[in-house]
Amino acid sequence: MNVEEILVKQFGYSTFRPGQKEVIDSLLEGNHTLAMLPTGSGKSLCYQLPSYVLNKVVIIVSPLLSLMQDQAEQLKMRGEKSVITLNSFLTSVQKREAIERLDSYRFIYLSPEMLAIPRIIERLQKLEIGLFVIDEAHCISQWGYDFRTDYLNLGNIRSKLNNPLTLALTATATKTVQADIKEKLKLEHPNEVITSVDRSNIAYIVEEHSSYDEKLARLKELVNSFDGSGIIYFSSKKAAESVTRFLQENGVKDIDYYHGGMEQEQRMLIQQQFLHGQLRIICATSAFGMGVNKNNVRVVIHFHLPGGMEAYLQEIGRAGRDGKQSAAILLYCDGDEGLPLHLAEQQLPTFYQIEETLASLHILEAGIWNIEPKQEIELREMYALTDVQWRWITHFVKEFEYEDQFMITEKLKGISKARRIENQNKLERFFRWVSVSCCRRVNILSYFDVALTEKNQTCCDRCGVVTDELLASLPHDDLEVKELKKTWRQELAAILIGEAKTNEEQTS
Amino acid sequence: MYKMQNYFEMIVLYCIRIFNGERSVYAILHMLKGKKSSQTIQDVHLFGLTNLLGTLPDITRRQLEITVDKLLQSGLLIVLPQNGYYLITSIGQELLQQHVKKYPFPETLNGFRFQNRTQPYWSRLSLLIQTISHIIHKQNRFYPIQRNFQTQTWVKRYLAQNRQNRVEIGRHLFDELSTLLEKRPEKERAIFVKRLTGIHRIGSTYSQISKELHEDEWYVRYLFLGTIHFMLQEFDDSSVQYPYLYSIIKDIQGNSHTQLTNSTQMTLKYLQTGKSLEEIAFIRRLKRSTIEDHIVELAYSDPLFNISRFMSQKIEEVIRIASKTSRTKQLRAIKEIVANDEISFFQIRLVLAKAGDDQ
Repeated sequence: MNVEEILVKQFGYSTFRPGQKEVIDSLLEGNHTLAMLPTGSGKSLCYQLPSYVLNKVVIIVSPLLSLMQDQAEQLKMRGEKSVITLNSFLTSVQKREAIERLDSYRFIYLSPEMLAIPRIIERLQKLEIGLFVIDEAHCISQWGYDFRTDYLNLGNIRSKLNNPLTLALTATATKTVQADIKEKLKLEHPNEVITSVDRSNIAYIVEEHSSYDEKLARLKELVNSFDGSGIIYFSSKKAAESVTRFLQENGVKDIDYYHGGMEQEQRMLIQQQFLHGQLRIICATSAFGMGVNKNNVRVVIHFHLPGGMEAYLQEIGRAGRDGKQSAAILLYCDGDEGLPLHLAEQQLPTFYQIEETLASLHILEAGIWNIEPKQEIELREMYALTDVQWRWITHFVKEFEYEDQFMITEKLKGISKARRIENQNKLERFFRWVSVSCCRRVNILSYFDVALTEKNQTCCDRCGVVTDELLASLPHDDLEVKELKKTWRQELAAILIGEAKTNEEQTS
Repeated sequence: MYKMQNYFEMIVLYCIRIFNGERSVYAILHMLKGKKSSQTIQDVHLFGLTNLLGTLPDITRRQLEITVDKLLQSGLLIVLPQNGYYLITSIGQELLQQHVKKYPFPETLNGFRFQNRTQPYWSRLSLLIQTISHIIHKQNRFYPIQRNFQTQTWVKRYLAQNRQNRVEIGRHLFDELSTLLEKRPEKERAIFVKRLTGIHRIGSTYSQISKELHEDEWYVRYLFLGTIHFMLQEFDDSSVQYPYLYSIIKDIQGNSHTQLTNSTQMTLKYLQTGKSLEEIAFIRRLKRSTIEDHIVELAYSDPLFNISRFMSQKIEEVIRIASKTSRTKQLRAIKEIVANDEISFFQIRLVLAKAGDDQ
């Protein structure tokens, strides 16, 4: 069977999307491959399809638990049962069982911290690995917007696994980050498939308003000006909740919020309601979206500034996956810059936090590798360290474990300073885009060193797109009304007994 | 007069009244979260809070502190200077009474008995219903509403073991659920059914249901818990009547005591072979106080547990009377009343454990 036949048979598609075929061919010719494909262009197909040709196990390293689960769930939906996700959520018994049966799976999803476990590495070394995939590969680069310290070891792990055929996947990586990925993963002369980050069917609009209240009033108008699905992004959970309440009170229906502070079950309900068209609009933090495969999101609105260009592209990339005209609207008001700057600050420990934490770690007898949860909690409380800050510090302390305390402290301070400046530069680069006077699309592409090849008429506000006209012209999408049946018994019957029988019941 | 903002405030106020300045707010936190420690389990018996144990597993320390602070600012509470614990004021008392009357806890609520079964029962049931609903409507692909790996594995195994016609399973689930829901008030039925996910509709969140019914979100949670605990109680009483639903949860049994440490079980074994407290502590290389905790725990969990080997009939009587006259559950206060150095805190705890809920 050739790849086109597999595409039809296994995936139910008749054609490839841009970039997919190139990546797959490159892999099947046996080349390590670095692929940059825009968000929403079907990246996962690039490693899923080859597995049916190679017929060997595919290992996928993925940074986010929820993303991993979503992708595994989607594979299972397609009827592929041979999938396992190995992460810290499994109980030790389940983990042991799964590890024993590891050779019976086609797809193994792993979080990077699982790869730090010797037993797992040993087991993986015994497998015949067809393909080693690093999803969201930009996480390996500290110049990437979502740097994850535990990704840094992936290069070593590749060596331990005897350099299996490797695919590094990302949606957003500048030239610097691409170079960094290759270096850190120790990929020698990989093939590169870099498709344009441009999503030509998404029109970019930035609206400047004079106050928070004006933004709020405008938001209300906007959500009433289109009938398809939309996501509104906020920088804080609180804002997502309170704006939802405001919009609900102002008569907007089928809208709710989603953020990481909600219980898992409630979060899952909201996500599913949105996927099934039961909710039209989601007010969310950046926690929402990864792995949410909804084709017909028409509009993505940013109520706050995002964390930089890459984050922005990831988030708006959730619009228009069906290829139809969609819109990305950013509501800006003077002074909005403060919030993302503040949030970026919080990602890194201050000099004071570094000095004090290191001093405390130094006197701990257990040593950095054996910190007890209780000690971690104490230290974090004492120096008000966020989760990210704590992981950041401990990662580097481990990395520089053989240096003396003074040197480590100085090194960490140096790194944190450099990162801080880098973060600010990133944000300032985005702020410049907000106020740019020429084509927004060209400007975005220049950030990624890509030239604009083909231009959609409906491009951006700078190229003459008017928000209200655009929204009015978007494809219509009727929401299915999913109301409850009249009585609780009828509703229960509708769920558990076939429709025909329910009717019988009603007449009898 | 202060207007209560939500049902959670009422719960906190209620607990503070019950603890009556004898426990810190963190005892409330542990109790609502359902902490599996001897202290918490003993508290719920001592103070009669078995219904609320473990009913809010996701509550945070911060949420509780904010609420207590608000109640304090509004004059519903005062702080005891000696230990920083809280007492309810008369305004608080009055407000609480009004609220409890209007929004009583579901009478079926029994956290002590069911906290271990509540979550597994609901996640399995909801996923099983979603699955059956899709299969009988000839759709074999859907996103599971429960992401927990254990729950998914359970449903898969259930369907593999029960090979009969899926339509039939659906029919039976419908019949059993109808029978159970018929015994519940209209509002509870509505909430339960809205929470379900089926072929044509994804279930509603608590917040959505609360808006629809114009009820407080916390209250909706408790009504829902009331329904679940009612079902679990029915299975305990007459499992034969609900073979399909009961089979969902029959592998998980026992109340919060049963879930307590194996260590206590070990102590019990030694006690049964006639070993003394000191001997057990020595053999097990544990502190005497730890073994005492185990024994108090055993006294709570087993109504027939004999405490006579730890004190004479007479001492038991003295303590019993002291605890009645002091009308408190504070060990120190009781100790002062008995005014006898021969009587230990351990003995007082044992007597209180035996007296249990009937105080």
